[in-house]
Amino acid sequence: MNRYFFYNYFIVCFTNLMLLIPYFLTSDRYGGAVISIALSPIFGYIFLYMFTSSLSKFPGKGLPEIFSLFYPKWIVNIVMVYKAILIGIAGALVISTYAVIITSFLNPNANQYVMLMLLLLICAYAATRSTVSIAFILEISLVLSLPVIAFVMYKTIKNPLMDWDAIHVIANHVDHMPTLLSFACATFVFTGYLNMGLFNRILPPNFKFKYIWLYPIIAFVVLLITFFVPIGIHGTETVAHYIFLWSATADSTRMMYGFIERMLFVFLIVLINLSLTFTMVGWHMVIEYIRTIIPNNVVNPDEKKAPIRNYIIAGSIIIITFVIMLRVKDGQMLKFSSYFLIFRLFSETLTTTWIFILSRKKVRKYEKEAAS
Amino acid sequence: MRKKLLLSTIFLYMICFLLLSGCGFKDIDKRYFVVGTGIDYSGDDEKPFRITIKLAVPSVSIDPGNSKTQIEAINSATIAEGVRMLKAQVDKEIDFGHCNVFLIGEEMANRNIQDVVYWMSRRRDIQNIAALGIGSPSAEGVIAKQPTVERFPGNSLNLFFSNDATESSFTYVELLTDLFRRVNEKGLDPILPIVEIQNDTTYVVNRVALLNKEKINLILTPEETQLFNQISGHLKITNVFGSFPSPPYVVSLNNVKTKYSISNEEQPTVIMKIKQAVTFEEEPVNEKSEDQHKVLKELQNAYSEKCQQLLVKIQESGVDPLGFGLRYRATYDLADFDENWPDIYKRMIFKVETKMITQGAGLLR
Repeated sequence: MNRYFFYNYFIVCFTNLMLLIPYFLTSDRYGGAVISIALSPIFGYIFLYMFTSSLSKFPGKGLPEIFSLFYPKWIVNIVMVYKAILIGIAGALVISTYAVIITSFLNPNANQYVMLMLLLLICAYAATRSTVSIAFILEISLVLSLPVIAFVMYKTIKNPLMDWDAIHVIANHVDHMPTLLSFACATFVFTGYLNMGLFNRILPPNFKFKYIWLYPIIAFVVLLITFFVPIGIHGTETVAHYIFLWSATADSTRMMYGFIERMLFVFLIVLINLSLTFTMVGWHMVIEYIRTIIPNNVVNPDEKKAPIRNYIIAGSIIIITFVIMLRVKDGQMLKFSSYFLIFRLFSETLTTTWIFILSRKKVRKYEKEAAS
Repeated sequence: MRKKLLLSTIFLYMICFLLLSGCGFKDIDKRYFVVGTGIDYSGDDEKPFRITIKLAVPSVSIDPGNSKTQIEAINSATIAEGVRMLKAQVDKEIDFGHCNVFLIGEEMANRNIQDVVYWMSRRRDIQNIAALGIGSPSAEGVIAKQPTVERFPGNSLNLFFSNDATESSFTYVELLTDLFRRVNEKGLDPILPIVEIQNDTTYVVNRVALLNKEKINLILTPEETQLFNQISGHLKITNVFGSFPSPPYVVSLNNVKTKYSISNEEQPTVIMKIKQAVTFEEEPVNEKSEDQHKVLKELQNAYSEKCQQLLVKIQESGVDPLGFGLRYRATYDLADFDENWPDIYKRMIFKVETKMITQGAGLLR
């Protein structure tokens, strides 16, 4: 069952491209980006450890159940709505970025909003399924994508245009103070564990998180590749000229004997897979969290038929996302994205610490009971 | 239940139809694929760009010399506007997605290439792996040429840069990503191969032009181009290293490894170490290579000498295509690169050490 944790962790790790994290990091390449990247795995590991060790104190319980053990209903409701909004924004940002990528690379004549609506419908429908189904879809999608991701990464690293001097130049700028935005960007890669706040429900009671030291290491390698490989290929200056940095990087690799010469299209297919899955998982969490504030809610991770309230919540997500995206322009989206990433850093620090304290409280409570 | 299912299916289909009509997809027979683009300086400052495109005309017969193309050219004030105006001259949608060769006219390259490079990088349908070159004397002349041996439209020029067909040690392949990087990078300057027409029938690509960020500074001769390709390590992709003639000997190089480091004493020095595996291709007739070591030593010295001359020549013209500046930035702290580097580069001296390892003297003793 540890693999379901693995999938949840790495879907977030790989989706960093869609939240324009390489863009923000490379904008700050002469500033604090490198030191942020170097520090982020430590931060990521500590929080991963705190969160997983707390969750193992509450087997089979998601965040809503854990909070309701300690707090009255109305506090739980506020916290859940807040968490749901935050996760929903992440999904919305990813899916709208992909709509922009599709319209700019695949079909420039298509209406961007039509594309967005299509993607929204797909994600929202998938998100209404039961938690167990979501876990299975996630598994299938990642198992299919991982070889292609590995192939794309391998091909780009082996690209003859790769210039190690440029990487060296940037890596030398490790002696700057980290900036808030670049630190928030770098740590985002390590925050996949938060999905377990919901998916803990499907884990068996005697579950133990294994090899958690391995996760930050792999994520750190992914982060290094996402940051340094484009610099090696585009150089220290040109790298700041691109918005969709990794699309340009994938397009720079020639597959001489592939079915298609441009690797861009292979890359875009993986990217659509990852971003749809990410949004699906995120919005499923939104649906489940919002459901807990509705009265008469039954928590059942393996329900046979999706209840009508799932569809209603999914419908509202579509409408809210679509209306917001109609009003937001490209430039604003970048700003919005950066604010979101910074806000998320604080919010996740708070949540993780909170859960950690709660889990210690529970242990003490049991110890007291055992003593008396 | 059944009724509900039916209704929802119909509803879904309706949504699909509504959505599908929104896509502006054009069929392949409504498109012209551009197979070569040339951008020249027109001579008129009002409309400085002369854009030439070669459109592939589909044809049933695939025989040498039967490829059909259509050439369209126009003068315009900006490139994007020119391409838009060209659309008015043809009956189908112009598609750059398959264009692998872009040529910049020599006159244009003597003025400024930055507009062209930025335009190409900005356009989404131009591949980052498209090859670039300088058309001499004009890009239009080279693009408009129809080689007599060509089988597919525009294929001939494409094959020069593709590494699939000819693998000449004189041909430098420059891709758009690399050129765009070099145009902006501090300490790495652009290079472009020069494409000419030979005997009015075929192309020849055996020289490179070294540019500062904007225009041509120096054009290397074919021999220098080959040497440059060998030491730039650029041809690692193709494993074609060419030969080194030093009469009366000619060796073919099978493997070249170039390493260099920059020492930062009062006189900055580039110490370049070149390691080669060589085979003898030509030796004086009736003379057995008894003292191979001596011959090799002479060849090594000659090679080092040639390289040094080339490096000094490049240095004197003030361009840095090999990326010494970038290496210097990586190794040493340089407060203001743009300010200090030209001076450092001018004072730089080069030491080249070549080590040739012989793999034999061919089939003869």
